Amino acid sequence: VFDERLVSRFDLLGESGAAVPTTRPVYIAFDVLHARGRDLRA
Amino acid sequence: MTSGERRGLLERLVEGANLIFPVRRLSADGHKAWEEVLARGIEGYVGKDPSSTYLSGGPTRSWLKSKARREGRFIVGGVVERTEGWSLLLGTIQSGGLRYRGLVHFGVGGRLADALASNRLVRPTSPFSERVPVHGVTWLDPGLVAEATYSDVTPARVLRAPVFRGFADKGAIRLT
Repeated sequence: VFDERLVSRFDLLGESGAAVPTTRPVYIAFDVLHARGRDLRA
Repeated sequence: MTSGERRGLLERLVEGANLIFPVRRLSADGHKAWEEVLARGIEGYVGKDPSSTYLSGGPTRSWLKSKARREGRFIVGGVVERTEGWSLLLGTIQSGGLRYRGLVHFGVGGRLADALASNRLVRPTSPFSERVPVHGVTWLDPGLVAEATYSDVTPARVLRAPVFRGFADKGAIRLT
């Protein structure tokens, strides 16, 4: 989740009703190493 | 495929997805990106050479991780000697009590610890409002303010990787 400054806050994940307003939980993708059966690392 | 090409592919793959986003990109200018890290309170950044290919394991200069250090002032509630050496117990005032914020070892020398352990602030009981999971502590009245840097705060609100920088009152403790 992200707080009101759009900083990711892993510690607030699952804290429903937390005092700090957060976004809903989302996934963040860092890289893509394989796609459609192709190894993209080389 | 280079890092820059994979980034472009990643953005195309997750475009339109509701719950998946590509990791945030900061300015391509490292100095401007660092200013944004500090201004927004982000943990740090990873600088990537867009022309590099993926390298598994081992250090590389194509990906450089830079972490921001935070700093703060904390009340010293005790001193303890452990296997790694001397450490200070730090806390902050919260709801009228002294809340435990962790141990700081780096930057704490034996002479400083000796001076604290024989200080007039020594008391028989813990000054912290909750039970502290550390044994063998010489407890101190909360009269000393320490300055420390740290990388982050854990979910339990304890400082991560703190380093002691000194006391706010430079004359608070005299070393012999």
